[in-house]
Amino acid sequence: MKKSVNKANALLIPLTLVFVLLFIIPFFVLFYYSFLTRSSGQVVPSTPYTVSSYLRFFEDSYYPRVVGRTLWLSLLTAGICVVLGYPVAYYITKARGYWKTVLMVVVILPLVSGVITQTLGLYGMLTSYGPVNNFLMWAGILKEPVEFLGTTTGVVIGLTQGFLPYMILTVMNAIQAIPDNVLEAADNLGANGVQRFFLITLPLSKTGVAAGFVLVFGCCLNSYTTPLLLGRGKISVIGTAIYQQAMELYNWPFASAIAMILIALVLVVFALGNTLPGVGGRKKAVSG
Amino acid sequence: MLEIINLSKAYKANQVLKDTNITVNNGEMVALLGPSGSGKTTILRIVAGFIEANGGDVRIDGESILNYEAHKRNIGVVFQNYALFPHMTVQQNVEFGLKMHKVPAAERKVRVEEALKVVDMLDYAGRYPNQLSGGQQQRVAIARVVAIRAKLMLLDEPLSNLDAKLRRQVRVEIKELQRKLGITTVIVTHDQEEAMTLGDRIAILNEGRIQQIGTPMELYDRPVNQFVAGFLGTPSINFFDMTVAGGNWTIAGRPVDREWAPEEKRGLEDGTYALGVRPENLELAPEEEEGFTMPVEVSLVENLGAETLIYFFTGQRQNCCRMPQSLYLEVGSRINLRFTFSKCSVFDRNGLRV
Repeated sequence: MKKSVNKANALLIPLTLVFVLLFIIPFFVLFYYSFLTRSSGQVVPSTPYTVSSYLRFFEDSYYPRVVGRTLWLSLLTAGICVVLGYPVAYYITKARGYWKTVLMVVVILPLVSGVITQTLGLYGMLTSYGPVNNFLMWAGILKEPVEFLGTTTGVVIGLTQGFLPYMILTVMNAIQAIPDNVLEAADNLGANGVQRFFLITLPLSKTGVAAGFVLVFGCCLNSYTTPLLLGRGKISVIGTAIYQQAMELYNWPFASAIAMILIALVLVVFALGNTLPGVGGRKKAVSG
Repeated sequence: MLEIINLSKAYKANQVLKDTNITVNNGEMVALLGPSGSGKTTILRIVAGFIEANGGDVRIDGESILNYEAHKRNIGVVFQNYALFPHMTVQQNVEFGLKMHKVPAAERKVRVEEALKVVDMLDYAGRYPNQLSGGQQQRVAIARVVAIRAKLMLLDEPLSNLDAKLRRQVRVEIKELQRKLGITTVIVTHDQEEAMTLGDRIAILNEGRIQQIGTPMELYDRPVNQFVAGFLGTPSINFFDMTVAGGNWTIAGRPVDREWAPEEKRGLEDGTYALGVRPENLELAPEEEEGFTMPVEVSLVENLGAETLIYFFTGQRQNCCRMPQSLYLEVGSRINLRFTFSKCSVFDRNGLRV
């Protein structure tokens, strides 16, 4: 018995190696770099050890504001994804046959089409005289074209478009996990469609909503391409700040310190998410 | 009173239910018994309102219910896997139906307590379903139905998720509870023992058609066809080939004396028949008696203490004989069996009772 478990563990070796080489080791390298000093004329930083990078982060309000903006954008996007994603997820789980397949493909397609393609596509859509503005003016909703690019709105639209599929898929999973006859039991006991949805379906799928929220929120915190392109460099978020420090100013210690703060933030978010009711450890069933 | 009238259901070309008629009297418990795919669950789901019928009618106390949506029918279903709401306590599960029926809070409290008391689950009111055993979950499911004072209770394979020992115990509990409440009940099952012990009457279904409806003993002793005969009873009924050619009768290939058969059977037309003989109707004959006993070779013996099952072959077919005592017999030994012909069922070539 014990032996076979050990053998099964061997199956984890390849993934563990990849994980250690490409994630754990770089993580510690970054952690180490964040306490080094930038050396002129060299990319790789050197001693003496210092915490000045961390201190610099909090020196003035610029970087905390970047963090604040990132948190706000992420929160907003995750919230919008819940509102937009839940009905779609619900609809797809109730759809049948060919139609369901079509809907699934539509949801998954953006995930396999690449973030650059999508973002540039959106860029074209959102320009001052692009289809979106033209449509809104044609429909009489707007008199003047709205500037989406280079604004928070544009970035949130981009992030929502990019991460909505994660929300839909996560929520779908949760709704699908509700046994049919639990819903039938609600019917049977006298609940109409609306009551059934709010008293049974929604409470039983809130785990999925919470999971989707945390997932989208985490993805947004890390996002880089979308804020850079749709924000036209005007919307500074943690991701773009790290890129700027590392690749444009060659200040690796500072870039590393920001990265560490970002990772800490993500961990806090996930930990908070885990304390939400019904998300973390579930009560074990007593069988018999 | 529940009346199911000419009910039929088809999924595209697949006719799963054909012109089904069943009447369940007030306070009665009727078991729908049949193999999987026989249409018994379809009937239950149509009555509950989860699926629509293609034809026919379902009436409760004379009024058709098919035009009411499921949530307006006030029919209580106990699901196979109980279908409790996992995010609600036992108390909330039972209260749910009352809330939906807009029962005032004070009365809800009383009725929930009543219902939980009936199923002996009052001490567990604060627990969540995943903290309960299967048997306890089922009682909560029944309490949910009791609380809404449903006109009709439908039980869908209520015992199939319980282990053998618990099943027997819960079976008794369900029967007592149903009697006590006097609630009109339909139970769907594929287990003939369950149907025989729980049902005041049994409706046997096969391939979407009712085969026979009657009390368990009517069905057991006077099955209308070979399917019903074969479906009820463990071990199953034995079928012996029987031929009648003029005055010459053979059973399982051996000539028998026509005098053996009861008077009303002696005039059988020439032809081949299947003779259904229950295992307990077979007994050991002290000695061979030409034309009245069957000499057979024992192929297997199962001694169960209180009874002994003796298996033997006639042609390719294995048969069973049940002796109400502990018997020691060698495999391969030859014995003489006899049976009371009047207790047997004779089926014609179409499998219908003669």
